[in-house]
Amino acid sequence: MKFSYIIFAVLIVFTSCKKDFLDSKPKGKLSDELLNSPDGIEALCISAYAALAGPEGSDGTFLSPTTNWVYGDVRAETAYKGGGGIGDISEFNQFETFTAVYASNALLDRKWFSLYRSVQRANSAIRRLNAVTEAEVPLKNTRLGEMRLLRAHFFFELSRLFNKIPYFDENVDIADYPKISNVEFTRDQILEKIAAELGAAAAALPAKQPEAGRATKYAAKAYQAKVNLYRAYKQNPDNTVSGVDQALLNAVVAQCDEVISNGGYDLLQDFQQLSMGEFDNSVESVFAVQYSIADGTDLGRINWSNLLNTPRGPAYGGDGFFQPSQNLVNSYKTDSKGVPIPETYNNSNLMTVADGLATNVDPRLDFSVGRLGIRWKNYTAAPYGQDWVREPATYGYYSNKKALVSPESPYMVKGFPWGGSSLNFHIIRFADVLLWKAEALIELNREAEALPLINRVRNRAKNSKYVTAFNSSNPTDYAAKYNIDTYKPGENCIWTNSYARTALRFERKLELALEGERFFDLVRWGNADQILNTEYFAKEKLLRTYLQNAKFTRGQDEYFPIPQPQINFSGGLYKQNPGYGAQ
Amino acid sequence: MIGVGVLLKGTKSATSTNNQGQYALSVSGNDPILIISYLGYSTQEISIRNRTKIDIALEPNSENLDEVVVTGYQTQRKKDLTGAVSVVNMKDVANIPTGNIISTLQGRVPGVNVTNNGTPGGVGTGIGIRGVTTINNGTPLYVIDGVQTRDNIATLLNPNDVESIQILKDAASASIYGTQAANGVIIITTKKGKKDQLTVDFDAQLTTQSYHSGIKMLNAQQWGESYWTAYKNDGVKPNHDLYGNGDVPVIPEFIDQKKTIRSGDTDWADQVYKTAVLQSYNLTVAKGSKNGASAFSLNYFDQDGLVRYTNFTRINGRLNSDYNFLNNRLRIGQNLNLSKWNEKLKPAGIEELAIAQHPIIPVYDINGGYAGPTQGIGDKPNPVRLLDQIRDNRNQQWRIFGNMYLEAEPIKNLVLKTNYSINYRNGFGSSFEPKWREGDRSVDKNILNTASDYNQDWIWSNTANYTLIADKHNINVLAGIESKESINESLGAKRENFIIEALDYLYISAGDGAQTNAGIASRTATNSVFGKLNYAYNDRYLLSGTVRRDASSRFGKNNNAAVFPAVSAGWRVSEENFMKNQGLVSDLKIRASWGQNGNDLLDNEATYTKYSTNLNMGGYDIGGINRGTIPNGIIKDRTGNPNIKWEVTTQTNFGLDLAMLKSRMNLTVDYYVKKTDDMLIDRPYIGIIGEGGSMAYNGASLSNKGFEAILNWRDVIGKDFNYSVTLTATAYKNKVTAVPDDIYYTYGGGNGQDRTIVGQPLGSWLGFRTNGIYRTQEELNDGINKPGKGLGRIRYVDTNGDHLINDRDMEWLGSDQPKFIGGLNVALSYKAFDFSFFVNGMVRDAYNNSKFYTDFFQLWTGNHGTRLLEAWNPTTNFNSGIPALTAVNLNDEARTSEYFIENGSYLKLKNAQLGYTLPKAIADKVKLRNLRVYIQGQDLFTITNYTGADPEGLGYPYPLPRTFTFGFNFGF
Repeated sequence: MKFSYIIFAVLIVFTSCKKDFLDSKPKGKLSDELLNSPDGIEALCISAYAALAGPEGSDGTFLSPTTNWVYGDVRAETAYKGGGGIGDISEFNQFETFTAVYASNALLDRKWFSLYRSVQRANSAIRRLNAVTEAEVPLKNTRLGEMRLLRAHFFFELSRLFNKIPYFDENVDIADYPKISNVEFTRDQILEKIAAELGAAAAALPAKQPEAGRATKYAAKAYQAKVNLYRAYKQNPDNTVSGVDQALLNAVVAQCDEVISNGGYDLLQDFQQLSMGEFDNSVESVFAVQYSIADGTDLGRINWSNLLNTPRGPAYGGDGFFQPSQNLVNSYKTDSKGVPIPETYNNSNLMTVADGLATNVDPRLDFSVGRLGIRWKNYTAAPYGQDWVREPATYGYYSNKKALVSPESPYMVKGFPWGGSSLNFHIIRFADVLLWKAEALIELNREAEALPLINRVRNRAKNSKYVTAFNSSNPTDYAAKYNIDTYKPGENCIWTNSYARTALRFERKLELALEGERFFDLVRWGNADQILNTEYFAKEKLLRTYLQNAKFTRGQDEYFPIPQPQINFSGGLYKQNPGYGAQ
Repeated sequence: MIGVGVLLKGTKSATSTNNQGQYALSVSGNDPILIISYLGYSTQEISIRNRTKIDIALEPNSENLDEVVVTGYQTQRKKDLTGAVSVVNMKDVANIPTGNIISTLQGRVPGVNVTNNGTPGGVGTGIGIRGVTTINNGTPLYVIDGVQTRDNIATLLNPNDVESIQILKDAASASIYGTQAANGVIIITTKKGKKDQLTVDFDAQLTTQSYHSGIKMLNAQQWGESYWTAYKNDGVKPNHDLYGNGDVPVIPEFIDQKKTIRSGDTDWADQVYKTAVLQSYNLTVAKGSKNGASAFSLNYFDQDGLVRYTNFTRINGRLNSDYNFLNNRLRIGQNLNLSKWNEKLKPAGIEELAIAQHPIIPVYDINGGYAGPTQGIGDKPNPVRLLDQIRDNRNQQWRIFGNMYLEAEPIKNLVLKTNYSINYRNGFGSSFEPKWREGDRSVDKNILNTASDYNQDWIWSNTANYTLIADKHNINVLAGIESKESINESLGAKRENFIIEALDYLYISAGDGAQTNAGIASRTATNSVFGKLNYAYNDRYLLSGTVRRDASSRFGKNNNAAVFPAVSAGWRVSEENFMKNQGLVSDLKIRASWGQNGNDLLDNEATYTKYSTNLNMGGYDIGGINRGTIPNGIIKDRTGNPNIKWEVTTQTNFGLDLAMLKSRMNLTVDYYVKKTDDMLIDRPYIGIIGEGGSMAYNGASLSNKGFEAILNWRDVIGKDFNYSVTLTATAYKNKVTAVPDDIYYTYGGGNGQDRTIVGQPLGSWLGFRTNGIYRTQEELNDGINKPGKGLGRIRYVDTNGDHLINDRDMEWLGSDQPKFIGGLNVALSYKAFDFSFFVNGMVRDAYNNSKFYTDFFQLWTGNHGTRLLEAWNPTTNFNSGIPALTAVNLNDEARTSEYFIENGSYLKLKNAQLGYTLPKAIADKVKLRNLRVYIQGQDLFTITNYTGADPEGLGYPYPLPRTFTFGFNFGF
């Protein structure tokens, strides 16, 4: 039986001497060292840009949308959450009604994390860019400028959502992250740093980029103007506005001027073109999120933030979220001379086709809002109808129209995700720049200079091709009694400073409606309490029962709470925003 | 009794009883003694003392102490065991129609919790041994004829091939399997040929399965009435796009504006579920000779699911053989199982959809197309369309599973063995999403997905086993080494746009649209050394020690090895002199054990920091070209932790085995304390780190304390009436005992502020306490500030006394972990007839999430339960506990609260069987060895207060069918 001893011994030796048997590297993955190559760095820069569309990709961007429709419009007087009843993503309902918004809200933590993921994508690229020479990466400085702009953008979003945020750059070692507090810098200091970063980015960036999606010098300048405008409205610790900084307003004017005179931008001819994929990266686009379709991904790098936001019904079959409010619709009323009526607009409701024909209406209404019986873009089978709405008993019959392309458009996905499209989303468009400058001028008591800027915006709306009545071949049969004009002091208005301020703020609502900016505007101006509680909820709840308990609380609801998990992870280093309990 | 063996002691002279129970044997010699033996009865020795006629009464012995039990890498006599090992009584579970033998064990084996659902083939069956051992994968290790696997055994084992199942529950029994043993080990042996016999057996079963669990849902008219009530309760005039705005809801003729969808009154459960058939056929041929034995079996199993079109078919072929040479000192053998199975899987979430879909939607529109939701009635897809779409999906798998071994016994009692096992699986799947239109939703492109993958595991074990019997000492030593490797690789392709949607056209190359592909792989390897020592003194004092060292590729070089020791001891009290000469206790053993195990069901690559290109999350159209090829970006996936190490489960066990009254009664009781430390958790981390911060680390701890018992009584009344009653009981308490500081209040559902999972069972619910609903104005004046509170609304409890209801009032509300699991099996036989039934039950709480649909009109616009018809109303239904109907959720009632928590306890008549076995006299005449016909039923009735679908499977389970089976076995 010696034979079997030998076999046994051989087996023991054999099994124990295969050296790398227990060494099993990951398959199909990259290691850290492989990323320092020029190709690796370029791919890191791309992924930082991709974060503009949401770092989650197709899977979860709709729960932390980068287009700010929830944070900027549903929280403002311009839109409802919509969708399948208030229980359908109840977190958004809580944001909308400002009730039961707790630090434990999972979608807040998600948004916070989403933005820091984005910040870190930029940091990861910056760290590696810093470590290479221009010989290795010839576009090193340009890419650095781009990454700094992206990072500034993500921090700015964090700042206006959460206020007390940890601010840091690429040089902080990960081991020191637990020491980064969210109160090391005040809002002012953070905005100042962001503005400085944007200035540095502007210095590094070329005026034009060979690729349309890349940030340019003037994108950085424009963004700097925006941040400085936010900085100009100083806030007290309880979030109320304490005053407006004249020097910063002057900086806003100067920076906007540079963009306006040297950037080569203009307004598109027709307001409708803003909702057409054909006009992506147009003359009006200062900085935009680039979406694509049929691009090698499963369903396209389309605007996933909008996943829920298409009407149901024949044209889209969508989930019916993001429905404009009655308040917004009423805002588009004009007087007989074609100017808005900010004092009385909400005294009656503009609802039906007949209502629209009975009163004067800004034509932007029917570019922005789907109304029953009105033509829907190029869709020819039927006008926008009841069967386009999902839960009319709760949310009424309006649909967001502006962020969608026409169902006939080649920029739209067929099938799921319903109505998803590659229409770019503007982070900054030229009309916004004009209005920032106007706003700064008015706050500087130079309202006369603001007038032509506002009128330039109104003039484009005026000169757009208006929506025509459905089933009418006559191009002058409009869907409503459109009547819009520029402000003509002495003729249709008296252009005082206070009138100009109201006009500017109203113009932003009309022009930028449903683009995710309104709530931040209200907080910047310090009138969210008055607009939401007095003007909006008090009236709107008569139509929308679910708004019965809605109430904006001053000194609290200007910002979201710092997500509780983050406070915990920080070991208590992070402080909570005012109004949300433990400080 | 027929066939009882009668042997003259000390000789080869033997006979057996004939079919009248008579025997004749010539004897000689001084005081001859007869040895009477019969399987399942105590062997007796009877002194003849010149008698010529001896009548013998046999006594049943359910627990044959000389019974051999298969444990790790060896066999042991049951009486020598010192750990907690359950042996399944295969007779009780034979013939239960299932594709997965494990599915029959719930309530039958103490300490084991089997979760079942109705997925065809039993592939949805899960098993947990002794509580919740880990937050990671808690699947036990299966060892089938020595081959170790964690795969679902429904796909590799024909229940008919199973000879025995033993479950190693405590650490000492299982620790010979080291890092794989923490979740317990299930050892299965398959049928082998028996010596000097050629047997052929054929079994056939035909089973009908019907849908019986479910939730009563509103019909179309009731839905409208509920809507009217809800709006009237809110003080709003009801107005619905479909049901009109009159005083009462009116079902319209059409539910769409184009008038193509006629209003329906659809019972969607009826559309989703159907009565289905299960068939199983089995042929076994076994032959044994002096120099070896072989057994061959073939099984065909075909189960249609209750969910339309779902199906599982499996063909199993098994060949087990062994040969011996050189006077049985060299043995060679193999066990080989080939299986091929096809699965047709249900559309995800179809069970929930059957509840949620609105009844007014018909299945089809007037043109024969699918109907779909229109406004105000939800937006769920048509379940029938989803089911039709899976009809032609393919999912086919092959598996080769088995081992071969060479065993040598160079000197007596020293056995050297080398064993090579292989488990190879290859799968191919293909699914097609056709173009579809449903109501006014449509998808105008079709997509084909195909994927193929394989798993290749091998294990090579080499053991030496030596037994020394000297005087009263019995020593057994086992030593071994083992290597194993597991490789998995997959390849998938996807293509859009097939011009023709014909089944035979749907192959990747035939499409002409966008195509993508995917492929991934992973590998893991382990090297081990192990040893075991068993020592028995005088059959009375038993001692056993085990140690195993495992080194794994899953960990970094510094930490990749771990040693798992165990010791156990037993005292067979009944062998002591003071226990002799008493008739009450026939056997008594006291056992204790301690040991450590690991868990290897962890991420293969957790030590590595990983980045990947990911077009979906990192690709970006930087050129603004809109379509075409966009550049890819790199994102970070995970952070590696080179310092992670094994999870360690430490278990202490105390047990007692007792046989009384001539072994009519057998009792086994065990108590254990099981602690799992250093559990690998994916570290939740501070958000500013950004993505890819996930990192595995050894953090949390769990403990389980449990008690389990099995009691069996078995006897004969008169000559022909045998009966046996078996009771099992299982209870345990699980809690999380430690969580790292930085996630102390976050991990496991904590509120992040002052509520930690530590001290609570894993999976506990954190939510609001409720105190019924507000019924009177007086109750409303309770001083509690809660926006949205009102009459008929849920009354949330202000637990912290601040008169506010907010997230600070949330408390731990329990978990759905079972508090008690029990089973009762009764088996009776009278002459040729046998009858048995099995009842099992569980005591536990349940979070009934289907209340979201059934109880809250305001949360969802699809269908609701008929419970809404009994909702609170101040005049007509004042005592109802169901909140008043409302259309607005001002009180935020979807929040996690006690309202959703119910008593989820149940008692089920799980199985009843009536059989008839052809008497041997007749069988012999027709040359049959055995013939039995039977009918049986499963899931016959349930007693429960749970209002969800089925308390056995919480949530929206694939429903368990009620089944009726006709079957027969015959052998010759």
